[in-house]
Amino acid sequence: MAYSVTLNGPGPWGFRLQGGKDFNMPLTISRITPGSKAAQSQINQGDLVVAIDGVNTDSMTHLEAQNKIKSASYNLSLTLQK
Amino acid sequence: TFTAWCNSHLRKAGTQIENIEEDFRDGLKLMLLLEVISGERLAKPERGKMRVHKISNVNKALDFIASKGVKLVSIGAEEIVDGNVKMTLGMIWTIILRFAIQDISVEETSAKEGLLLWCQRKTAPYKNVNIQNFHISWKDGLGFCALIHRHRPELIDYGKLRKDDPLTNLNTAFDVAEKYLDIPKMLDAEDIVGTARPDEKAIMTYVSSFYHAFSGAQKAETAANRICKVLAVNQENEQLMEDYEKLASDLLEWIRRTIPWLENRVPENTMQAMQQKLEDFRDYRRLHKPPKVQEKCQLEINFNTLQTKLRLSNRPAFMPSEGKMVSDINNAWGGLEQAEKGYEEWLLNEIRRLERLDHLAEKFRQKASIHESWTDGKEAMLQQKDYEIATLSEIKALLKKHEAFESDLAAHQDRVEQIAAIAQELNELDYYDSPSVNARCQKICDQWDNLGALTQKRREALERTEKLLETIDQLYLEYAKRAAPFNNWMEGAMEDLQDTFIVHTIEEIQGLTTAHEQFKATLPDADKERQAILGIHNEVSKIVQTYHVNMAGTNPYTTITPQEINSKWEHVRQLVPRRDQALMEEHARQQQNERLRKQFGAQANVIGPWIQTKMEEIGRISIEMHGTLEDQLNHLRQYEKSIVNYKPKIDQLEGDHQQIQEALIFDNKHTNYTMEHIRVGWEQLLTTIARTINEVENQILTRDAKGISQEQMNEFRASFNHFDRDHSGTLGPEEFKACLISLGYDIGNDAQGEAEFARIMSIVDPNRMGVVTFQAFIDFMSRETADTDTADQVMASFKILAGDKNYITVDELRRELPPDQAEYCIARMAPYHGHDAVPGALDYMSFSTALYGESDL
Repeated sequence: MAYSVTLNGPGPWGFRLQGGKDFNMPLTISRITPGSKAAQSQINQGDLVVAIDGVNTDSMTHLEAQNKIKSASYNLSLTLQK
Repeated sequence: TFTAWCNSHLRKAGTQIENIEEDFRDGLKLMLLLEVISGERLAKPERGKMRVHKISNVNKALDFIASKGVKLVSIGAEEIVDGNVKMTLGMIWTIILRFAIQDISVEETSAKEGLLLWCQRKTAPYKNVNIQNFHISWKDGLGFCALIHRHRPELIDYGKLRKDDPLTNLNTAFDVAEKYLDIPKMLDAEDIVGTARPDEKAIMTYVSSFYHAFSGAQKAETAANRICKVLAVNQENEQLMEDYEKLASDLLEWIRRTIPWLENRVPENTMQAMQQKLEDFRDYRRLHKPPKVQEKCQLEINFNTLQTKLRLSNRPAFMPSEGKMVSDINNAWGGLEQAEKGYEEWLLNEIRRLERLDHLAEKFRQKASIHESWTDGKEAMLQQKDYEIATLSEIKALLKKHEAFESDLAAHQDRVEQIAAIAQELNELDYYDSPSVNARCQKICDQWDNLGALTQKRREALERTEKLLETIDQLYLEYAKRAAPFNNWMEGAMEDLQDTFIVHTIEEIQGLTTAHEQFKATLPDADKERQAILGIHNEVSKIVQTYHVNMAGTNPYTTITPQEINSKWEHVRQLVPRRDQALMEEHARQQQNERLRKQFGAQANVIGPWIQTKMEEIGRISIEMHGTLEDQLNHLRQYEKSIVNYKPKIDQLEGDHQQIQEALIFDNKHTNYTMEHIRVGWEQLLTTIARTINEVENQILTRDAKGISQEQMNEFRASFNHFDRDHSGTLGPEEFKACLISLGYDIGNDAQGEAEFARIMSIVDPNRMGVVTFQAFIDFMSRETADTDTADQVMASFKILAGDKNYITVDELRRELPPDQAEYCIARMAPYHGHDAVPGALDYMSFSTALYGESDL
């Protein structure tokens, strides 16, 4: 089930991103820092990141995904899947 | 007047009186007078001269007068004899009255009236005459002239008379009367003219003379007429008789002529002629006979009239001359009519007959023509020799056609018979053209017979030819039936004999050889068959030659000629030894192959197990934990060496294998190992030994890197081995999970647990192979236990190079790192956007984390 989340800025958001095309692994939330903005949202550990700011993550390398998140304007919009 | 009157009568007796008073005294002349005027004879007068005689005569005369019904009042004979004038004149007047006037009766009137009437009648046409009495009416004299003129117009030219000249008229009349009419002048013209009222009696007497003269003349006329009539009647009768005779003879002649014509029963030949005859007869009946009928009728009438006339006129009956009697005529006529009837009947019969004949003749002609047109060309057709060059099917078709023709012929039999019957009938009916009819009929019949004969002959020829062709056909069929399979067999044999075979075993080649030998054994029989087949063909040729049947047709059932058979046979025969040769060669080859196989097999059977053993041993080494990793490594290196040393053996096997392959040997029952098996096994072995060595080396590395003790390693190993139930050297997910649990990982069966396990799996099996290798396992374990964040280490290293900054510059990278790595970093590092960023700053932190696929954001 896909769902969208908008985290209010600014970062850090408090989650660990794992995976990427170069690792041949889906982009996953591998860890949530307790008490963080991510922790206060719907996001859970193990969720898949489908899109960042509306852009699909299928072809992104880890670095590209990382940069995309970092370059988000004030708020961060994510589309995730449980 | 009276004297004249008496004299006019006495003249007839040849005597006269001169004195009326005297001459009658003796009574003789009186008696004469009476005789003359009455036309009767009195009694014989007395010839005496004595008074008594005279009186007697006068009395006779008076008696006669009295007997005539005349009353003589007071007139006696004596007075007369005595010469009493008054008495004598009175007596004469009485006589006149009685005899001249009295018996004048015109239409039942009395004498005087009658006479007057007669005068009036006779003078009626004369307009200037008007008689009303016997005195004044006569004074102009025209009366007398008219009377004369009326009876004898040639005596007086009446037109010249004039009323005002009575004297002339009277005198003319008196003169003429005396001269031509024998009427004495009794009157005096001057007397009459001079007297106012002339004497009635005198005029009456004179006029009565006229009457008697004319009536006498009339009588004479009548008598003459009567004579004429009688004569005319006679003449007429004679004419009639003549006419009758003529008519009769004409008629008889005509009948005589006509009857033969009617009795002519010579028939004509054509309907037209007969119809002409009929027409002639019709003409005869309508035009010629009726007049004759009329003639006959006329004849009859004439005859009857004649007879009647004769009878009426008191003549003897008419007797026609011989042969012209009524009965003759009737007979003749009867004969005519008889002949007529017969003739008409005959005509009609003849016409009917001719009609029938014509009809029959026409029928005959028609039928004959139709028949002739049908037969036209049939003889030629039947004599065709078309069957000499026909094929069997053509013959059959011809036979069918012929059959059809035969039935057509049979059907026509009827027709021919009909034609003959008609001809017969024509003959019986005496047709005029019978000869030509008969000739034609005969021709037809002869032709018919001929057709029959030809038909039969043709049938025989066709059947004969058919039989021959059928025989030939049978033979052909036989030939074909045998030649085909034989040909097939030969071709099969040729194929087989030339068959390139691929055999892989000695058994196969032996099988082929055996088959070949068997085949060779069949050759003699085959040859016999061949000869039999050729024999059939020869038989066909013989028949063709003997019977000169069409051989243009080839065998319809097959295209295989004897020549073909023979040539193929030769071919087969040639092929046999060649095959022998080939088989032998092959046999040798197969034997050779077998040797190769055996060789290979022997080798493979040694190498295969050896590899297997080694594999097992190597596997065991890696699984078991005898000695240190270094020991294992050494052990393994020994194995490696021995394996390398074993290579020549493999090479040799390869050589054998090549030979085998070159020899196209595809199977080898001497060993279950194929070269590929061995190769694969060998490569696996090489791979395995390399990998295992590598594994051990890695383990050593890991152990050294992570500082895992040998016991720990052994423990890991033991666990792994324990859960590697299938001894594959890898763990499936469940096995791995169980292993983790056993090592104290809390992986529950909930979502959290599943997520954790998934995470772990993604780490140990990043390539998603589905299995966990021991190396990965150890890595994971060591990572978890070692608790070292390698990403941080890298970051720390970059920090040192960046001079403790949170970013690094391009120059620093290029300065500190080898060029390749420097460019690698420069290309991939994202710009640093921290609050202390400078242009060209690069974010090495996120780069570091990204290297490990993990970023904290």
